Amino acid sequence: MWRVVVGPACIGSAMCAGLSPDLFTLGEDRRSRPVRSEIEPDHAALDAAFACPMEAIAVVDLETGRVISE
Amino acid sequence: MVAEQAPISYPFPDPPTIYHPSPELAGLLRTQPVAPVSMPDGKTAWVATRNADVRQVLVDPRFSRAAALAPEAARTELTQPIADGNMASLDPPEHTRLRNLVAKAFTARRVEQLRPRVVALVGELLDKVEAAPRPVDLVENFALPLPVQVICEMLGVPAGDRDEFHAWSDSLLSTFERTPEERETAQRAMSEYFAGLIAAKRAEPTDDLLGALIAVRDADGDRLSERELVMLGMTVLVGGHETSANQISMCLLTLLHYPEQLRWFSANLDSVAQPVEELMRFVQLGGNGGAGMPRVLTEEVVLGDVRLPAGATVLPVLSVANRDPSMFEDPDRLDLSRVPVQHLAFGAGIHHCLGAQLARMEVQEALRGLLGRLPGIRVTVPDDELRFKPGMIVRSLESLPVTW
Repeated sequence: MWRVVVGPACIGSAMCAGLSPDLFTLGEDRRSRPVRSEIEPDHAALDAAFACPMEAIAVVDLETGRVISE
Repeated sequence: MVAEQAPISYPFPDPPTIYHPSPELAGLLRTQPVAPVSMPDGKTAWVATRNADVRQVLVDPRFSRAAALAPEAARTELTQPIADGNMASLDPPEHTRLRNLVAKAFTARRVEQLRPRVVALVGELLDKVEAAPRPVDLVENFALPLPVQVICEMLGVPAGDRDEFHAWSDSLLSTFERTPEERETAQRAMSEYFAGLIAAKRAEPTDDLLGALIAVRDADGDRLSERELVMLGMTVLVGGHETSANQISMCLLTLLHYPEQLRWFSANLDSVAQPVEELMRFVQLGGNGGAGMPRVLTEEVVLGDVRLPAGATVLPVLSVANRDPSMFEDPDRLDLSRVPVQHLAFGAGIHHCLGAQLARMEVQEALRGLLGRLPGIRVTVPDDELRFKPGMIVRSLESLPVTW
C-alpha cells in the first residue's frame, strides 16, 4: 500500500484534483486532500505529486517507508 | 430562474473602468450564474460567473479543453492560444506528458532560487529609470524588460532579440479583431526563429530550459516531437512575458487608484506576498472581459442549477468569479489585509498557469522595488488617456508614463 499526503504548502492550484480526481479532492478551504490516505499503488498519485507547483504532495511506500514521489 | 436581462453576447461588453468587470457580466453572477451567450458565429455557448461553478469548469475533467477545438464547438480567441498544439489546448495524457517536461522548472522552490537575480534586475532597471528624463515610460523601461529578461535567461533565448519576438508575441495574443493571416504569419515566423535557435543549441548545447528540452527530445523522440519542442519554446516565451509585464503595470495602476491601500502597501514592503495575492484577485488583466479558455463538455453535466448537454461550450469568467461575494466579503473593495485570498487569476486544475509562481515573485519584487525606490510615483496621464494595444486577449498597455 501507498500513503498519500498533501502538505501545508498546498495553495489549491487543483492540479492534482484535475489530473487524478479519484485520488485528490478539494476541501471546504479549497485546498487539496487525498480522497483516501492509503491507496493501492497507482501511478496517477505519482503524476499528481510530480505536477504540483508547490511540491506539496508526498507518496510513501508503506512497505519500505520510503518517499517515492521525489 | 428567468433572466431579467437580455442575453449577453460575445465579445463581452467593455467595462467602463479598468478596475472592475463590466456591470453586464458581473450582474450575471446574481441574476443568472450559468447563462447562455450568443457567439459571433451564431452558436450559443454558456458563461459561468460564480466562483464555485468557475472552479468546477476549470477542475472537472469532463470540461475538456481538447474537445473545445472540435469544429462544432463555439470558438473564442482562447480556444487555441499562442500556438497550434499548445499544451493548454490538450487533455491528458498528451497534456500531462508535455507539461511534465517543463513543470519542474516552474515550481515554487525553483522560482525562489531565481529571486535574487530578479531583485538584482529590478535594481538595475530602476537605476536607469531614475537617471532618465521624466516622465519615464514604465512599460518600455521596467514592466516589460523585467519579465522578458527573466524568461529569456531561463529558457535560453537572447533577450536582445526582444524587438523581433515581441511583435510576433502580440499577434499570437491577439483577438478576432486582427486577421487570422497576421496570426499565422507570426506563428510561422516564431516557429522558424525557434527552429534556428534549437539548431544552434544542438551544435553547442546550453544549460537552460530549451537546452534541457532538446536533450529530452534527442534522447527519446517518443517523449517530445520536434514540432512540440518548438511549440513549448514559443508557449513559454510568449506566456512568460506579456502577461507578467501587464500584471506589473495593472497592479501599480490599481494601487495608485486606491491611495489608502497604496500607503498600506508601501508601509509593509517587507511582506508583500499576501497583498500581491489580493491585487491579483482584484486586477482586471483579461482583455476579453476576463473569460478563461473555453471548455467543451464530454458528457451531460449539471453546473449550478443548469443541465448542460454533452458538446456544450462553457466560458469560465475568472474576473467575475474573483468578485463573488459568497467567497470574498465586500468583493469590489481592494483590501490588501484580506486573508486568505484564494483567487482564480491563474486558473485552476491541470491548466493552472505554468508560470504562476514566477509571475507572483516577479510582481512582488517589481512592486517592492518601485515603491521602495520611487515612493512618490504617479502616472502623468489620466486613466482615459492610457493607451492599450487594440485587439489583445490581455489588457496590454502601449505605455505608462510616470514621474515621482
